[in-house]
Amino acid sequence: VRIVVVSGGNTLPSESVVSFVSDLDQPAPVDVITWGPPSAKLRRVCDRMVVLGPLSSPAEPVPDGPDQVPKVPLTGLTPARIKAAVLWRRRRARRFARSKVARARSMLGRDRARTWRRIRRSAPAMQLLAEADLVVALDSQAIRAGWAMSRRQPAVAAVLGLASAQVAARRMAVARSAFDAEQVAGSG
Amino acid sequence: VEIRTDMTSRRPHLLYVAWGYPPCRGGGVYRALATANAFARSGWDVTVLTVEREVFESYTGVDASLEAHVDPSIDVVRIPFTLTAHETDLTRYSWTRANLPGVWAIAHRRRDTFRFPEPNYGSWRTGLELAAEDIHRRRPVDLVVATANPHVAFAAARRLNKIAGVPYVMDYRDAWLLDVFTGGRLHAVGSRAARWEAGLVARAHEVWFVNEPIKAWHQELYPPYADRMHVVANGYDDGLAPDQPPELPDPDRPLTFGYIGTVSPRVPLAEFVAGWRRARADSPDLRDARAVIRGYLGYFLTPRPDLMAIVDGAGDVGVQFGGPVSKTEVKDVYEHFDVLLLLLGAGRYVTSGKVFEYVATGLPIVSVHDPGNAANDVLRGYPLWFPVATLSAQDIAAQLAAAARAAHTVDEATRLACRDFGERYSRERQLSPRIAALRAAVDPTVRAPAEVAS
Repeated sequence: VRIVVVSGGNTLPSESVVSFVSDLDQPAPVDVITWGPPSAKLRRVCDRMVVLGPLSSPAEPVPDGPDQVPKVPLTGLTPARIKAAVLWRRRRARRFARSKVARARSMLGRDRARTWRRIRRSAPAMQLLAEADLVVALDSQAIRAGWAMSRRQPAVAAVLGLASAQVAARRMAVARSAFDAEQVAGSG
Repeated sequence: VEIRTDMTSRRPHLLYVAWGYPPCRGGGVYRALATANAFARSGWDVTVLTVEREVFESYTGVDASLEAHVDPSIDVVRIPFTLTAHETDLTRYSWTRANLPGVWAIAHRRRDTFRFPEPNYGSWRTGLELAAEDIHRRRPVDLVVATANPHVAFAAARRLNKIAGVPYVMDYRDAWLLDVFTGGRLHAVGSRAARWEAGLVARAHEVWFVNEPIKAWHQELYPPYADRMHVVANGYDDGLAPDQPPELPDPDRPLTFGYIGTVSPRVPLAEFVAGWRRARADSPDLRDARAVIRGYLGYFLTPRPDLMAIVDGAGDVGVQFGGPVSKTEVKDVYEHFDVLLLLLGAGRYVTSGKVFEYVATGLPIVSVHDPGNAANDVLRGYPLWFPVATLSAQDIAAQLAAAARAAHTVDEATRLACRDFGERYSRERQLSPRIAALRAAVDPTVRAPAEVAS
């Protein structure tokens, strides 16, 4: 059973994937397609890996957080105070607009589409998926990729989450063993 | 409430409706298991109406050992159910769900609550009612006990009451309209859920709650029906508590603090970890001590990442997540703990089923929860109880240190006093008065317990 784990989020839960690989009842090759950077430990336990997003994403300072509000005297309608008030309102408006846009994007599945679009453009990622028996979507952004692969290749199983992947891998391994035993009995 | 009186020559037939029944691993399953078993042992023919085993395998997780505890005389009828929102098999997703998740979620919620106002479970109503009618047709039902949540289970009881006048008992493990954590309302006055509950309570023969504060809240809400409301506390299951009082831990061996249960997002896990860190640093009794969490992080099979991160982040001070415990292992697990941790969400209406198991063990118990929690009513008077005054790291650390000291120094008499205290909370003692009263209600040849006493 070849397993491909897909993560579309900016942060890959490397430790969870490492635990998943080590907890598999029957060792199986595990490939990872990820947007966020993987840990060194995960690189060691995985068979092959494709990184879709930037390899490192250092935390960017927040340019206009509440701490950056210029300190101005609270009395009088000074130009500095007016400017601070305008900036504050602009920040609020932007934040509100961003949240609405994010909600709309989520409703329309744009995040999912982004991951799947990048995978389709990546020949190595498509190669991994083409060889998979089980596709594991780690997060909501990876759902569309898993779903689309199961539609393209009906023999491929696709699940959401590592717990379900454990169960699916176990079932597939048992089914494969039974099939192999049948073949041996048939040839004998 | 009309009580039928054709009960002279046969055992009464109980239909017990519960979504979570063995092998489900959820917290409420123990109450369902114990209630159905108690009726069966009291001379009732019991039919349990629940969901197919695969539902638990797919969504909640399975404790296969629980099925061995089901009374062999019980007839279990399993009907299909799909918890669509928690489906993890992507091959079953529709195009809309895979591509337009928000649109799908809105449509799904509307479809789900069309026949019963309960997201995720409302669509079960049709199958449930048909199955209940079928059971009644094959063998007339004398009483229905429906346990919630999910509250859609009450729909089956209501249906048989409507078509055949079968009396029913509503058994609440939490509450429907009351937010047991905040004390506020979950559903507005006049909402569909509120109207459904009012209708159900008006026709119910009895309504059971797990503690006095929840019962009082409902009595205030439905004054005309206050007399049919009763407290049936959870209690612990026989055979769970260690047979002997726990032995004193070796003073040279590091202590093991333990928690068994479901860690929900309401549980003050982060606060506990902060207190634990401080106690480990300050108290010599906690040198190299471990805090072992057994059970589930979150309500479902997959651990919640935020809770898992808290546990992982405290690995350096001995906080460990040991995973789920099957029913048959629980007794052994308790025997490996020196001190028990009771981590609960805030709320004067919250009682955990765990608290009854805890008092049955006779071990020191550290309560890490809001002091107004209903669990305090159970624990008050327990000789080795160490409740925190606030959820500050300082208070939690102080109680952890005191419990560790007690674990090393407690005398024999105190340990026996703890065991004696716990015995009053056996599940059987909680259920038997109600079962006797219901038997008298459905069978006029049997006298109610109060009449017998007089």
